[in-house]
Order: sequence, then C-alpha cells, then structure tokens
Amino acid sequence: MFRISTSQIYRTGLNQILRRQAEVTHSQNQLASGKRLLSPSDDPVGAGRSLALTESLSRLDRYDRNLDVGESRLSLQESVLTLVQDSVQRIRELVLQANSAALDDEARGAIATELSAKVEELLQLSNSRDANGEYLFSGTASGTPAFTADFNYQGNNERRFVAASDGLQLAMTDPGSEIFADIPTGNGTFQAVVNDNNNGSAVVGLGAVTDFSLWVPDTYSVRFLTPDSYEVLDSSGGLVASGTYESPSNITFRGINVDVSGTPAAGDTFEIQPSTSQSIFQTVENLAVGLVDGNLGSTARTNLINRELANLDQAINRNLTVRADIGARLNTVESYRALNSGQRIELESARSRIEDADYAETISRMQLELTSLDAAQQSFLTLRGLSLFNLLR
Amino acid sequence: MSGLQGIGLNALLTFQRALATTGHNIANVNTPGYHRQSVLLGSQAGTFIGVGYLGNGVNINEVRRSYDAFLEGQLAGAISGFHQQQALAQLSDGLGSLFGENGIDVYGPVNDLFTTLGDMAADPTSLPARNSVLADAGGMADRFRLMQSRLDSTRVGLNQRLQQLAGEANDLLSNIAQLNRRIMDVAGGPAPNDLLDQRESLVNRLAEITDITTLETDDGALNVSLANGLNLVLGSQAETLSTRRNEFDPARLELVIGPENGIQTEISAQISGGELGGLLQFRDQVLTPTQNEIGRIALGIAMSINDQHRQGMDLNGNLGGNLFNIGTADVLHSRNNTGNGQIDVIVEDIGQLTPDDFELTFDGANWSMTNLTNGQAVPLTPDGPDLVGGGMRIQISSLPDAGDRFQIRPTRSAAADINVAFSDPALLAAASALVAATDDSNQGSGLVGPVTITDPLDPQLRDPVDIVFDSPTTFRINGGPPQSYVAGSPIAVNGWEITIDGAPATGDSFSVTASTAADQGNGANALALADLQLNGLLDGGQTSVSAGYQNVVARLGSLGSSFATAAGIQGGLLSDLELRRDAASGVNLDEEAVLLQQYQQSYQAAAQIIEAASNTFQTLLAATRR
Repeated sequence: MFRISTSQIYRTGLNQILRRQAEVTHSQNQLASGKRLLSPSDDPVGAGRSLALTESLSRLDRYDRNLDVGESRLSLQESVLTLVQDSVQRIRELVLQANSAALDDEARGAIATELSAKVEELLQLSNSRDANGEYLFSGTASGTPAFTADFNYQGNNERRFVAASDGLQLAMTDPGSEIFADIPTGNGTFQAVVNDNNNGSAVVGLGAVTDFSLWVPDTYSVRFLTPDSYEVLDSSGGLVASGTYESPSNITFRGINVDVSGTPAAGDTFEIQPSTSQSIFQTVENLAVGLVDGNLGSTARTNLINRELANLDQAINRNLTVRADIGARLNTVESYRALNSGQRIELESARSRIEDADYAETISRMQLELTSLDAAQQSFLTLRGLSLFNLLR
Repeated sequence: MSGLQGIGLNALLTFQRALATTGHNIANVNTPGYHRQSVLLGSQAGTFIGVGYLGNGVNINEVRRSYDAFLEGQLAGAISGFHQQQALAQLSDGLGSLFGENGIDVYGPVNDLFTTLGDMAADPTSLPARNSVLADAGGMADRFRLMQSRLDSTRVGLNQRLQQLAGEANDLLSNIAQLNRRIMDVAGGPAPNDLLDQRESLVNRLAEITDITTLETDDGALNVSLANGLNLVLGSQAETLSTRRNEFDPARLELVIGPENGIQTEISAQISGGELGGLLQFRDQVLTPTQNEIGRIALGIAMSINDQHRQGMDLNGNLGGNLFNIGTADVLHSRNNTGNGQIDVIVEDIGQLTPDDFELTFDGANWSMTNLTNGQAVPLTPDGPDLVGGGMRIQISSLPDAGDRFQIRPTRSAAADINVAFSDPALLAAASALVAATDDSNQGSGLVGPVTITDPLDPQLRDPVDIVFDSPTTFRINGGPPQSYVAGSPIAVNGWEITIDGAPATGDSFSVTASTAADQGNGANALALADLQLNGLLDGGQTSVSAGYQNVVARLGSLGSSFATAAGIQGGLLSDLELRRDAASGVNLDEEAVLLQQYQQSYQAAAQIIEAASNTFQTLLAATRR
C-alpha cells in the first residue's frame, strides 16, 4: 500500500501551480518584449551568435555611412571636373580660332584676354571647397588652397580613403597635382621646341614614338643645314642621324617620328626634349601670352600654338582619365551599397530568427501553459475537497 | 470480577493514549521533519488458571515513529546537492541577465565608437565627427564602469549572503549540540521521538547550507562533520563557523571554523555542497572569470586604440597621445608578508595576457609566478630592474622579505579604471604621422605601403628619410652606407618601418616624411583605428574583442542553462526522496480520521467492558440480597 501524506498533497499541488505560473510568465515576457532570448541561458550559442551578427551589422552601418560620405565627395569632384572639362574645351576652340592666319592682332588680343580669364576660372575651379570648407584638390592638406596664383601646387599627393567593406578601402579624393599640375608635355614621351628665331616657315608637329626600344631620353637638336637637308645631334654633340628634307616629311631617329612641314631656312633648329610636366594653367597662360607676343613671327606663333595645343590635349586626356576613375569608384560605391544592403537583410533576418519571438508559436505555447495552469489549479481544488473529516459530522 | 474491570480500565486508558497519539499526528500534520507516530499494542501476559492462561487485556508496547533510516540517510546529501545547484543556477542566471535583453549592453557602445571612428576617417576635419568620437569613447568607458560596478555589487551581495549563512549555520550547530545533550540524558530509555525529529530537521536545514556527513553514536549523540572529516558537532560540543578576510584580498571572504579569538581553520576549499558550496563555486567559476574577461576586453580595446592612436598625428601637428587612461593591475599583498616590498604591475602586451589571477612569490633571491587558474608556472624574464612575463611588466621598487607573496590581478578591475584622457577634439590623431611616397620617376614596380610606427618615442621619428635603391637588392638611407634588401621584408628606420610591395629597380627612390598640421584632411590613422574592430587583439591575435565578448556571453549562458538543468535534476531527486520519505513517515489526515474512528469505537467498547463487569457485579449483589 502506498501512502501519501497530506502535506505532500498540498506541496505537490502548490509546486505544480508555481511551475506553470513561471512558464506562463516567461512566455508572457517573450510576447511583451517580442524577444525569444531574454537571458543568454535561454540559448547560449544563439546569444553569442546574435552578438556577432549585431557587430557585423554595426560594421555595415559604418561602411554605409562611409559610402555616403565617399559618394558625395566623389560626386562633388566629378561635377567640378566636368566644369573644368567644359572650360578646357572652350579654350581649345579659342586656340584653334587663334591659329587661323586670317586673324588680325586685335582679334587675337581678344582671344588672349578670354584665355587669361579662363586661367583664373581654372584656378578657381581647382581651389573648389566642399561643404566643410575643405579644399577638394589639396590632397589631405585640405586646409590649404590647392594652387597659388602663380600655379604652384601647395597640397600633397595623399588620398583620403574610407572603408567600404571588410578589407576594401576606397579613395574618395584625388590630389590636384595629378589632375591639374603634373601633366606631361608634348606627346607624353617627348616634345618639340622650335627656335623662335628661325627664319624659315617650318612647322613642327606632335611627333610619335614608333619603337620604344630605340628611344633614348635626351635633348636632341635638329638643325637644317640647307632648306632640304638636316642633321640630328644629341646633347653631347654626337651625330645621331642626318638626311634630306622635303615638305612635308617625317624626320626619323632613335625610334621616333617628328613630322615637319613648311620650308625651313638654312640654320633653323628645333629641339626634341623628353617630356616634362606642365600645369594646365601654365599651358593656357603660355597661349594667352604667346598670342599677343609681338616678338613672335607667325611661324613661331604657329609652332607655339601647336606645342601648347598638344599640352592642352594631354590635360583633357588627364581630366577624362580621372573622371573615368571617379566614375568607376562611384560605381563601386553603388555596388557595395547594394552588397551591404543585401548583407544587412541577411544578417537582420538571421538575428531575428535567433532573437525574436515567433508570435504564433509563443501564443499557442502560452495557451497550452495557461490550460495546464488551469488544470493544476482545478485538480488541486478538487483534491482539497476530498477529506474524510468532511464526512465525519 | 476485578479482572474484567481491570481489563476494561486498562483498555480504556490504552485507547485514550492511542487517540492522543492520533491527535498528536493530526496536530503535527504541517510540522516539518515530523515523523508520524503510532502506538504498538500488545496483549498482556495471561494468568494461569490450571486449565490454561486467562487473558489480562491490552498493553502499549511502544510509541514508535515511522522512520526509514535508509531514506533519511540519503536525504541530507540530496538536500545539499539541490541547494548547491539552485544557488549556482539562480546566481548565474542573475549574472547572465546582466548581459541579456534587459541587462547592460556593453558592446553597443563599443560598436558605436568604431562607427564614429569610421566617420572621423571619412571626414577628419569635421569637429562634430571628432566630438562624436570623444563622446562615444566616454560612453564606452562609462558602460564598462557600470558593468564593473554591477559585478562588484554581485560580489558584495555574495559576501553578505556568506556571512548570513555562516551565522545561520552556527545557530543550527549549537542547537544540534543542545539536542544531543538532551537525547544523551535519556539514552537507554524509550526513544525520545520528538527530540529526534527536531534534531533531524535541524540537520536537514544545515544540509541546505553546506554538505555534511553525520554519524550517530551509541550514546544517542549525532556527530556532524564536513565532507573531509572536520567535526562541526561532536556530542554536545559545537564548533563556530564564521567568515574571515582572504589572505590577500579583504573583499573576498573565506569560511573558517574555530573560536573567534583562537586558531581558525580555513574550510572554503572543503565546502562543495549546500548553498555555501554553490556560492563559493559561483564566485570562482562564474563571477571571477567573467569579471576578469570583461576587464581584459576593456583593456584590449583601450590598449589597442591607444597604440594605434599614438601612431597618428593630431590637428595641431603633434603625435597622438593615449586616448584612454588605463589603471595599473591590482597587486595584493599577503597579510602574512613580513617585508615592505613595493611592486607595481603594468599590462604591456594584451595579446599575451590571459584573464587569470597570478601569485608572485619571492624566495629571497628568485621570483616565481603561478597562474592561479591552472596552477602552472609563468616564466619571468628579467628586463633591467623589472620582470616581464605573461604580457605583464612587474616593476619592483623595493624588495620584499624571503617568502613574501603577492597576488596579481591584471584584469579584475580594469574595466572600471578606463576613462577618456582628453576632451579637446583637436587632440584626436586622425592623420597618419608619417607619409611614405613612391617617387613618380621610379622604373621598378615597387610601391611603398603605409608607415608603421614601432617606437613613437624615437627622437628622429619625424625626420625626412630618402631610401634610394643602388640595385634591386641594395639600398641607401639618406645617402648612407648600402644595406641589403630582402624582397618583402620591412625596412626599419628611426622608429618606423615600411614594406615595399613589388620589385624596386636600380635608381628607384622612396621617401618618408612627417605629416604637418596642414595635413588636416588625412584620416589614415582614424581608418586604422576603425579597422581595429575586426582585428584579432587578444590571445596572440586569435580573438577579436567582439569575439571575446561573445565568448563571455555564450559561456555565461551555457553555464546558466547547465546549472539550471542540474538544479532541475537535483530538485527531482530531492522531491522523489521526499515523496518516498513522506510516504513512509508523513501524516495522512484520512488515515488519522479512520484511526480516530477506530480508537473511538474501541474506547466505547472498553467502556462497555466496565459496564458489563459492573452489571455482573450488580447481578451478584441482587442474587445475594434475597
């Protein structure tokens, strides 16, 4: 015979009711907070994982904010560089106009004045500032204007980077030295400089490299011995090449071609120098000054215009290259933003699966718990009423 | 005739006592530790009347309590086990919830700080961005301090509970000793059931506090001892249980037995059960490791940010200082030390530091250090007057006596000791202090990477340096003697180093120059600071601080849930034992109701015996009166 003590009946009944109440309270807390994980012990692995996901999400926040800043900075640069491009195109048109022999001094003077104004405009553009008052094109020395009035670059060559994703850093600035100042002269390998005191009418073009392996950087001097023969000397006076000339023709030596047209006079010279770099401002300034320089004959002026036009084209190319690069980076910003937002959705839903209460499941579980609480209470009440003493009256 | 009357009277008295016992049972239905009592009846020996023995009625042989020695013996152990696990589970759950949904979110502010550091990298000249970094750095330090103070107050609460329990245990011990005396006084007679019940219930209450073993001696005394045999109650003598400050740490209480002013024996290590066992286990296995690890994480973040910050340059063109002030490690002197040794400990290498406590001893000539968690020796290397080991630098400013001991806790209070070192946003070193450049006219494919500062204190740190390659394998620094170059290995000069990616060609040159205040738009150092969020900073670069924090939370969670499971199992075991004990010994009111009826009826019947005897006597009287 198994005995049950009376206090045990009460204690067991009470314990059952208390346990059910604790369950119901826990479910109620989950419903009220919307969270499944109330304490790390509810799901230790999930608690750690959810922290890791939160940390990843905070990193995505950081990257997104960085991308926003980077994008606005890059867009600002891009719009300034577009203005620069417009301005340089206008300069190019003006220079082509000025190159026409039909133009009189007065007309060239007007063009020169406009070119001088364009130099100012370009300088102002290069010293653009962003909303914080930082100079866009001073590298990281962003408190200093990029260029002085005499075209000296005062910034540095550093770029500012932002983190766009784990392990990916994106440059959000480009130094002005690269965009405006360090632009190669001539065709990028060499430039032809014609002696202003030549008496003939020979005009020297841009030239081209035909074989890089033969090219030796040096200053070569090309001299017309007679109007139809020439010799090429290197900087130490050694004879490099010689030949006959007939307009127009290419003078070829050391793997390069120099196109010459017109009629040179005996003793006329021009030099082939390795490319150096020249700022866009200097190029335009040279044009503005050259157009109204009374000491220059029309051939010398044409040669000057040809030379500086080549430099202008280099500047245009550089502008296009930088803008293409900025465009590529803007695309990267877009694609990483999309990537990050995709990742954010992944991470958030993963975290929600771990942390958040499933309402349907929690509510039905709580219903069940309430039912069993009710059952425990009812059965206890029933048991309590059953005592022999009740009958012994 | 008188025989029948005697039998009736005897039966009347016997059933009266049986009724009284039933009443006693009913009255004690709610008394804890009460064992149901019952009267054992026996018939009186008969009187020989020649033809046989004539019965003499009923007799009470014994008032016996229903007692199952086997079940009772298991009960104390089950009670200790349950209360130990219950204390562990409740305390761990409480600690765990500090890190839970409604707890103190330590890691949110850490993430915020890294986010604003990233903002500063993108916009290094913006004062609002810089102020946000300072505010978030302060917010992070505050949050760590808050967490630390909550952990400290858990420790204070734990000490109070230890004292309270020691006091309760003392009362129980002296009460048990008193009961022993009263039971020994009546030894040899019938069992003093209610005294035994009282004593057992005191022993069970004591088992809730600590694990004990008991031994009943022949003289009726119950001797109570700790699991290792140390006596708590011997006969009518009770020991005094109290708390004493730890040898090293006054904030850590140890349990001792022995008279208040006499020799006390430390017994903390011997207590493994009961609520005391649970409290001690919680302190050593849950609270201390958690607090140490939180300290290590706080230290890890602050030290790595400081290291990186010192590599940068602030808006005034100066090298960055420390962003966070960091406290020194706790060094606790043993109260038994005889010397006046002065020792300071600084954490030097957070990557090597483990979240443990250490004991440092001096034998008169040599120092040795032991990791108190795993008991292993930590090698110490002398470095000038200091000792270096385990990521710590131990500075000894005056030697202690031989045999003196110190406890070192590098991370215990670290989280509370961190605060932001300055409030001027211009002092935030967002820019890199040195800028490396690859010459534009280089022919080779070598590209110089960022400059890493190895010694911010080098006097020539910010001097300009040109590195020119004489050949692909030799280079000169500022025109000095040629040095050989191994591809990919760093070139170290003036407290910094650089690495060249790709192959430099003959005549190529690279330069390193100091940034100046004009370089205000440089955010390279802020970028490096923000990227610390991902880097492994702890355990020799294996663990990022966030992974370390996740480990703390996951560990707390799994300890909490396993303790809760264990408490559930122990609770089940205990209630099963109690169920069986109650089945054997508890009072059932229905049963007592039946017995009440039975004895009442028997009493009435016994009264009838007396009436029958009386009637018989009256009949005789009437017969003789005629």
